Amino acid sequence: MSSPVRRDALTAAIAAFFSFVLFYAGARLPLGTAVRMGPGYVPRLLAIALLAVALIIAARAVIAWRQKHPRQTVDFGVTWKGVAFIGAGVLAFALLIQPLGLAASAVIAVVLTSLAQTAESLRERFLLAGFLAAFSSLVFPFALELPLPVLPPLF
Amino acid sequence: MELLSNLAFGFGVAGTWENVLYCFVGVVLGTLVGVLPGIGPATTIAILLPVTFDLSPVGSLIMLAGIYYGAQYGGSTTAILVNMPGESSGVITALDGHQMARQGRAGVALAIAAIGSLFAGTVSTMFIAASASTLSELGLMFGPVENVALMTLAIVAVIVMGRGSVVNALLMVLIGFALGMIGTDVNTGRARFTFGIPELRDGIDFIPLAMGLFGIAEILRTLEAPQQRDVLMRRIEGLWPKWEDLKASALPILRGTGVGTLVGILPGAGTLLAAFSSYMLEKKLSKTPERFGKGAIEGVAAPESANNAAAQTSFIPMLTLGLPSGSVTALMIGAMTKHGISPGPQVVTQRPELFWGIVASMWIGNAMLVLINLPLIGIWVAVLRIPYRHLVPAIILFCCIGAYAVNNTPVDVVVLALAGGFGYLLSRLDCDPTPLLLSFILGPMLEENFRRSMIISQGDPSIFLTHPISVTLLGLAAVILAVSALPAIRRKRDEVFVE
Repeated sequence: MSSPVRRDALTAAIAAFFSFVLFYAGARLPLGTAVRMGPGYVPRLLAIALLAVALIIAARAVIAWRQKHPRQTVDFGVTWKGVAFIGAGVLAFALLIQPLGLAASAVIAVVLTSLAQTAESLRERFLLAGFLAAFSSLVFPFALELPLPVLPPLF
Repeated sequence: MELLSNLAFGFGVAGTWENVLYCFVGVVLGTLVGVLPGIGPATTIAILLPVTFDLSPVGSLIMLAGIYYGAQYGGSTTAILVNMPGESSGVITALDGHQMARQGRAGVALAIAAIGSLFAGTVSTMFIAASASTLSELGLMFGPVENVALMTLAIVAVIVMGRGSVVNALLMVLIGFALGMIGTDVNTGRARFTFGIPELRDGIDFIPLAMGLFGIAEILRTLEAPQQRDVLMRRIEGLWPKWEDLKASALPILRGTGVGTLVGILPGAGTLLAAFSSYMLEKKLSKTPERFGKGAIEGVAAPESANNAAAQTSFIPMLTLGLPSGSVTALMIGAMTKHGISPGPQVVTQRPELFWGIVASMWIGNAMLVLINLPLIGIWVAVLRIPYRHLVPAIILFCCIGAYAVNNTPVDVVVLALAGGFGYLLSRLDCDPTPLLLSFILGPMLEENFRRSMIISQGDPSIFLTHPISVTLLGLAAVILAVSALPAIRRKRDEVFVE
């Protein structure tokens, strides 16, 4: 993704995607008139604007591609490992917080996110997870009085 | 003196023990997170947003402001000690500050940064108080038409002042609007773009969105580069600057304050431009410019005063008009709307306790920075020594808990994950998410005011050009757009961001 052409192509695709969703999911919303706008009026304007931006960015990509744009940015690679494990950790927390409570879901989320980086040992990951789970089980529900279930609802 | 009585009123609000406590907690937490390498004020505020949402509106904004100063100062501490600034304006401080640290003068650099910040904070607080009294009169003249024009100006300012391509910034604005559409339509009560998920009927919550875009995305960004830190293991001694250090810094602090105060008011300019301009000014005025970059104390004193002054005065357009000048003020506006306060010129007159309380707490926060942070410097250094592989899971976990606790729904945690992934994708694509967040916040208000204006004008869009305030604001937006399109200015702007 380091070349500007590929970057622009992807950016244009994102713009087109949002435009499509607004058109498609907004199709059933009444448009109304300019005086009495319905709920679909502004989304439709937005979808048209997004389509225009998508076309501009795509045109920019084509021009850059034709010119074989020499400017390449020095960049580090995408951290797929980071995205995968941090994403998995956060989603696991979302899934488990209600059935399992804070303590258990914190342990699982921390172990998963810690896999995004190298550690000395598996033991280190679990120690960290245990410490953070204990810390947050004590601080958030009790010290800050947030209404979080610490243990599964069965207990 | 109206100014003094207003300030006294403000200190009355900010001086209650709870508000002082909130300010204190904000400053400490802000420094704690801000000191972490690679984490700037916007990320710090985003991560800590859930801590503040339960408080009263005044308390939460006071705490957020405290977090901001703490983060700013924490960033400078990291810049000086580790040469890894968390935010862009810290880059300037790192130039000479880190050199001073290498020469064993870390303590002096930190102390001068704190003293300069306090002085700048005092001056800019007075400045805010003075300018607000006059600006607040404006608020009474605003209706839906004027609001539309003002929000348009805010969005144009953020598009123009941001980094990178203007088209990309425009795309961010449109996506922000689109995400803001999710939820129930105000006028008809009809659900829009909720895709059958009942939790989305109230819209996407601002807090998990901001935490994902600024917090998680930023953490992912730091994972790309291998973490190399050379933390000063030496004990920091000689915290108090000598007489000649103070003498050398006095004028730079004064000039930095002046530059920062003025630059901060410009919508969208932010602290980087302030720190950069004042550093260049000192280098130009100095008889020995070759010392800069090699540990010149002026090179710490001036940009630190400037960025603090700018950090404060950037609240002027935010509090008096609802115009953000960057990601930090955009986050604050989001927090305000979360508390049911619509940002705009009416805030000063309708919520004087909020406005003057925040102004007074700015000064209290700055004083706390000096009183707390210097004695606690040992703690911040200890934080810097925690291995990064332990910090990342901890921050992510706290983000999850924070996102969940806002509405006690796992949907918000899913939003956090998606926003984090999307934010990371955007940063890979050179798209700064600040305009997205801003239009997400302003979008629903803009739509409502736009629809009301069209009812007033019977569907005639020329109403925006016949109301005097509206046409002035839109004209200003057009001028900013036109000026930014001039090639000379664009080049200059790119230069500033490259440095």
